[in-house]
Amino acid sequence: MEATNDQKTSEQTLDPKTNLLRDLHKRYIVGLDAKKDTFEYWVTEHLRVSGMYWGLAAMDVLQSLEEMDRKYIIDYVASCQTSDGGFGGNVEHDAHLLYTLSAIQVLVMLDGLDSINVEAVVNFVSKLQREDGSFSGDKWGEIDTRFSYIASCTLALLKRLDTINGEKAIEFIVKCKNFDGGFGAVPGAESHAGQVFCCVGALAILGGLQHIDADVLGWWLAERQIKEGGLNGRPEKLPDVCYSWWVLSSLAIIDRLHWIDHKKLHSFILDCQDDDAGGIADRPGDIADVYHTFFGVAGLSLTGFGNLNPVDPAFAINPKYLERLGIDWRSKSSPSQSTLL
Amino acid sequence: FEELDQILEKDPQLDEYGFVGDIEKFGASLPDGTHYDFVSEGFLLQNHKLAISFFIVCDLQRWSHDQYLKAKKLGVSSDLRRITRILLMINTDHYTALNTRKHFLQIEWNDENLSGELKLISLLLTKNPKSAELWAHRRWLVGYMSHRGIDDLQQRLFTEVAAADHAIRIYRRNYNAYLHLNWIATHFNTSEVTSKLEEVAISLSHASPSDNTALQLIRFLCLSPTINQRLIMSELHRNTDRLSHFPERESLWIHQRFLIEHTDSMERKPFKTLLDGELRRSLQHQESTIGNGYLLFILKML
Repeated sequence: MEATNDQKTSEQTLDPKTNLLRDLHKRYIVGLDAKKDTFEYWVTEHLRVSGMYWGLAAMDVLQSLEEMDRKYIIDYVASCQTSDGGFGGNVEHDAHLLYTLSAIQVLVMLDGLDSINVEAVVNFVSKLQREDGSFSGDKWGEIDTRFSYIASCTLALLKRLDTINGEKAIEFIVKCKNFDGGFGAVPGAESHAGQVFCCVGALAILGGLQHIDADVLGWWLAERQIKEGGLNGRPEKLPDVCYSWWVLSSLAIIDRLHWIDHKKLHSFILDCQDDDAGGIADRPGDIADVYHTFFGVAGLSLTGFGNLNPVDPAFAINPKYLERLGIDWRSKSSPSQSTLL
Repeated sequence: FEELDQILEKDPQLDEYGFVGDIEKFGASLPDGTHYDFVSEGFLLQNHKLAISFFIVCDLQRWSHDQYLKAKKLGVSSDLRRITRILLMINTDHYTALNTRKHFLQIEWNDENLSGELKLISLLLTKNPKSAELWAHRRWLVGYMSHRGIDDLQQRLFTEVAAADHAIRIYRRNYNAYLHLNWIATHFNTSEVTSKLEEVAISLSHASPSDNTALQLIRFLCLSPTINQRLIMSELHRNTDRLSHFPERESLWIHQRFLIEHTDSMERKPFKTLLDGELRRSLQHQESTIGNGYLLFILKML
């Protein structure tokens, strides 16, 4: 107790504009589980499993994964697996790819895959591939490149990429590439940094990075940085901390991370900290949430901010888990060398 | 819960709703002499618009959630319809509730249920015009309608275009609403639908001159299914004019690049003067990365 109070005091004297308030953010994340009957809880109840992933992954980046209750989380996540094999966003929710990936990422981090029916997950995911190579999110048929990424990432973590048609999957993703080098949700949709991450990440995992015009895309991504340092997701939109992840991880995968001004980005992310209750918000002054907290610290980690665990840009978890599983996407393919810088 | 259920039953023309803080304070903020159709601690209904107090949301949703799980076990469609309706009003992204509704629509497919569903989706979209789950649900519904067969598909498609247009005007750059337009263009590829979309895309870009999402829709129409040279040329003239008024706008440069790249090389000759002009314009704005990026592009082209 004494130590905690000392820590609290010493962190209170730190300037939030230049320092990451680690302990405060850790307390924020750990405290989330207790907030079970609030407005925020009820309007996000359907995605609780993803919330678990964001919280856990953030604690990992903050070098404090062991502070989370491993058994409780594994049991909870396992209870979200449905008879379809996939995972719902919370107990009694229908299976969907979105929550299936989050569940698998959590179980990989906590080494809890043997608590679930892995074969059923593989079955659920692989059956969602369509003839044109695309993936729907669930049996109801919505197509989106987010689902191409999720399927590839989930199956790669389970070492079962062989159950889908990788070539066709790549083919569909390439159809979603726009003239500006970016990617949209479906062919012809506007380039969007979130979709770019999904497509670039999927191509990395599937071994198709040679299809990317890395200089053109790199430039589009670099132009997401606004004067004050924050990153937006599309031309002329406001900056948002989550793009610190989507843009940076994409740049990291195509070896152009140095095309962004890191110092300015750091000061933007730090400015988004809530120095009272903890957590990181989408932009300075707004209310924090666990989603932006994770992507904020992940963005800091990726650009070398000190004393943070690394995050793999394709799988969005600590690379040590990939090593443990024997996964190495970099050996599959590499993006083209830059002719510009 | 019962109050809200009754409000929804008694006002089938409800067309908009949202959350407010205290109902009394909200009521006081309305013009004097406003006649309320219904008012209580949690709700205020006036002229088919409903205000729900933020303070009752937790109790309401907790109750609805429990009722939903119980009702699912019994499987009575009318109960589930009423309960999921309320669950969704509080949490428009409750995809499992949407799936329950899909399930019953398939089993009990009739005009009344269909029009009820369309009304509910439109109502929910007034609260959350960006919701990916709602738009996906809507697409499923239209796809299912087309599969089961309906009387006037074209009219339905035009209504869908109007719904997306409406959501975009509430919230510009609405990615999911634009995906709806993209979906219609891709799956219902008739000349009537395409020209309707062209009309809407141009109107949207007029309303919001450097809106990259509207411009992207125009680019999509320029390329599908074959290169639409007429549209490209008219856009080139329009965009060049816009750039002269708004030279600092990133989206307009991006659009210009696309248009010139897709202009026939034969047609480019008259635009060489235009390119020289562009080059000069880029050099003027050397400080911004937009100018630099465009500069490189032009140097490549010349």
